[in-house]
Amino acid sequence: MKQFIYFIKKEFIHIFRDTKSLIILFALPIIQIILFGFALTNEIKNVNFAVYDNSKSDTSLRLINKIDATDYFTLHKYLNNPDDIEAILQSNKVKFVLVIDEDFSRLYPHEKQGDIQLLLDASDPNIATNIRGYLQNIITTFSEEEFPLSEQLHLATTKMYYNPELKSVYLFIPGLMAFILTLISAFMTSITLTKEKELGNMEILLISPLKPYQIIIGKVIPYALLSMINIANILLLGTFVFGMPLQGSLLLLLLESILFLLNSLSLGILISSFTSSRQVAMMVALAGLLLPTMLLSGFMFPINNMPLPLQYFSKIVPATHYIIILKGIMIKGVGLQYLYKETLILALLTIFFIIISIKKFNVRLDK
Amino acid sequence: MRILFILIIKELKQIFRNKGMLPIIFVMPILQLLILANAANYEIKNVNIAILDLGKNDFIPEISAQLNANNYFTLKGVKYDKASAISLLDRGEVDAIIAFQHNFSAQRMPTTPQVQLIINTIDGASSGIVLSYISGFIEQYFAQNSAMKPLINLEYTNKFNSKLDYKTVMVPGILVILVSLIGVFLTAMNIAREKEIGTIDQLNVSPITKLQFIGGKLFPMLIIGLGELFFGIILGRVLYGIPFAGNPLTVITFAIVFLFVMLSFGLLISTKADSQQQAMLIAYVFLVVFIMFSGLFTSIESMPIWANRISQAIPITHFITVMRSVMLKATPLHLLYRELLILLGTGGLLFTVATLSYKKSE
Amino acid sequence: MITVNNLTKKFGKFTAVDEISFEVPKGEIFGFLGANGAGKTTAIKMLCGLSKPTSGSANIAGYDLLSQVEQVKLNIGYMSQKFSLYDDLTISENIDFYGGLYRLKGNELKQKKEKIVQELGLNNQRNALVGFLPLGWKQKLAFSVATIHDPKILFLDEPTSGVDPITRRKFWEIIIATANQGITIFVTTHYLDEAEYCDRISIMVNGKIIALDSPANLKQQLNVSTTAEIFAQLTR
Repeated sequence: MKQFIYFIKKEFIHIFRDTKSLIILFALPIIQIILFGFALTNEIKNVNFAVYDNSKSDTSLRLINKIDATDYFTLHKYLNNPDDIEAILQSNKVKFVLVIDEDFSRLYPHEKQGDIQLLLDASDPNIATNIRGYLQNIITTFSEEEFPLSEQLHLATTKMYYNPELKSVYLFIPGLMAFILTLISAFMTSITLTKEKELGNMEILLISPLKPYQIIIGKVIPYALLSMINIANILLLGTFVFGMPLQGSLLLLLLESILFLLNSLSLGILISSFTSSRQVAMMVALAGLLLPTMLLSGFMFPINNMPLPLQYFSKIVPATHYIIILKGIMIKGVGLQYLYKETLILALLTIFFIIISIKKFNVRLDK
Repeated sequence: MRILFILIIKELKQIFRNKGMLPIIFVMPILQLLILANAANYEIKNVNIAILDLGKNDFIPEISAQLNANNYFTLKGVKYDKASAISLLDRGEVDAIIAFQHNFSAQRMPTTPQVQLIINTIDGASSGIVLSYISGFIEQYFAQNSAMKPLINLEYTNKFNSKLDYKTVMVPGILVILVSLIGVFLTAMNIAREKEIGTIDQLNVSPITKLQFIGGKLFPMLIIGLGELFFGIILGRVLYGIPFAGNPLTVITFAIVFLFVMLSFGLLISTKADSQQQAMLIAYVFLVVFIMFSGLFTSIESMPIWANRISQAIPITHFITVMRSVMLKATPLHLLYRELLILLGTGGLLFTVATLSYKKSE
Repeated sequence: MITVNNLTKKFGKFTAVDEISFEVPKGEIFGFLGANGAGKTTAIKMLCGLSKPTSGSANIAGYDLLSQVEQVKLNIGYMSQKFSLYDDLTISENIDFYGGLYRLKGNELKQKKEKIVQELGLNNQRNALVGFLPLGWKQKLAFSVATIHDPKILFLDEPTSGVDPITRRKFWEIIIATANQGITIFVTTHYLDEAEYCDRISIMVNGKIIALDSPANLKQQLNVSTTAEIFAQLTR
């Protein structure tokens, strides 16, 4: 047991000697959360548009002004020539062009409907659909304001149930947490074992009284402690700077976070047990995990919309479950009874990673 | 320059002899591209809906039938009190509730909404789009089945991507990100590695110039990066039918300049880092910011001004714009001069700084 | 060939090399002895232009170290303590590479390569990866590569570290043969018996040179019979 403690001490010394890396390990999560928390959003704002107005009437002008007056859209240019439409969309200066019919003010609202054509740059399909939704809303409101007694459908102000102000931040923070923790933890532990192998210290370790599982655990513990500080930092930032709620139990949150942490750390160990050099280990941990964790965990894109095989795949991405747990505890305020499935999966995955690592480790011993 | 040539050959040999690294450089990006292209979309395949009928309205059966008939929606039930509808939302059984008020057809107050949508926004990405779909459906229903027609008819056309296919956008974007990751990480490790194993002394003691040294490390990766890009584009075309409407030369030009920028960046990190591990961490910090601020996954216009500025400073942002514009919209080169200038400027700057930062003697 | 004047290297408050001065004539084998950490590697790195002196000056092969460092590099060869050939390139490729760096090409490069490969008896392994060579062979190869451009001076930093005594002896035979061709050799080592091979030696302690003369003279002065005893006497 004593040797074990000494071993852990040595690992700590290694870590603290590399000051630059240490600073990055702590500063990184903080910087990322602040940057992304304040910058990332799925809402629309300041989307540029152009207008080709054939009616040039008071009505069309009022409508265009109303659209421009919102935060969502900004009028960039009045076009005088239909040939310019294609070019301005190609040049990325506007995301859509409104073409107003000549007959617009004459027809509307008396006889028929006035026609407006919306030409969307769908090369960004996400924004395109959002634009359509909001624009439709604005136009409908415009009609109602101008002609309140006409027979039109009055569609409600939509209520976003859990997120009355549609603060995008809420939705990103759990994903960010999962993402940051996974990569840093996996990266750090993936290097430690391969480093010993490369530098040839492995033999020394192996003939010491330490057992293989002690070596692995000993290497993980310092990073675990460091990462717990990171978790605390991220949670503090999330709640105090971004106003993320904490409806549920803080204790449960911390315990689940520790579980996830152990999972990521053991993922790193797993990577190192399969790779031959530090270079490869680092590449796998960073370049290999980066996009999949971002895209398959529900962080950026909703899982429900993915093709079925990918939905299954996302179930073995540990971050997926952690995000569900985080959202459940923080936003919905639910307890373990709702989250036992995800917790169980995380625990099983962790054990799985560790077992494979130890097995691989023993195989290597025989080589 | 003959020496430059020797350096390039040496690097290439080393890369291709590193058996463990080869799958990472060539296979991993392609695999990720193919798989992730399917993941990255905000398309709604199915929205689970509950109807909350607060006024015993007579059109409910009809609208229910139409909802069900629509492929995008699944009607999970019709409730008559708020609490039971909300609990469906709480349990995650439905994504949204459409609430119809009382006195629907009677003379209504101008300010009372007749229809209210309550949307579960824990998955915020889809909420705006869910809103769009549902409100579109409802307005259409009432336009067809009553006198409630919208007075302004908004006809929309999705240009350049009529099927609103996310893959056409995501495949080039993800490809660019993957190539950047590989390129920057490898160059970041490169010089740090020579420092760690000691061969850098032998290089520094030789008459090699800084320009030759940095250039000799940049060009091999440039070649590999270009190869990966082209292979990825072809693969995207063949497997996913990604269009290529514009001029290939434009893409090639930008690809070279872009890689020049990213690789110089990686080399700059490498000259400053004490170890490979540090180099990787520093590179990672920047790359994640680049990816998040590139506009591929979130909207740049909607960012606060300071964030928008950061986004504009990032090479990936512009190259993705260029790829999208040329591949999907056939944008000609002369409309992309701004992006070209930004990339050239950034590239020149980074390359110069990297070359100057490399010290042959401490 | 080498003239050094009060060369000093400080790292912050720590002085690694403290105002050393000496001269080395052409063709001499000059040994730079001292314990590990005495400052030998730092000194040799300065002379090779790898490390900028904090103060002092030097003239190497007729060029001023501070202002004409790139010309100095053209005229010197260096073999570092850390093995510096590429493990993942073949013997042939390593020779081609370093030769090319020194602007050797075509037939000239080919001939030199043949010479090295034949002299070392590595003809059959020329296409083997250097990583597979035993340490002793790597050292010899690194030495040959360092001389490929016919430098006037060779700087060798602990060239025989970690090598068995027999290989060490053989290595020194090569060094002496090279010196006999008129190349000046500046070698650092912590193996005291190797001092016997040198024309003159200097002993470095804590960054300063505390003795400089031929091994024979030093033994006489201190009334001892081996180099080890020279060292023991001086560092007491």
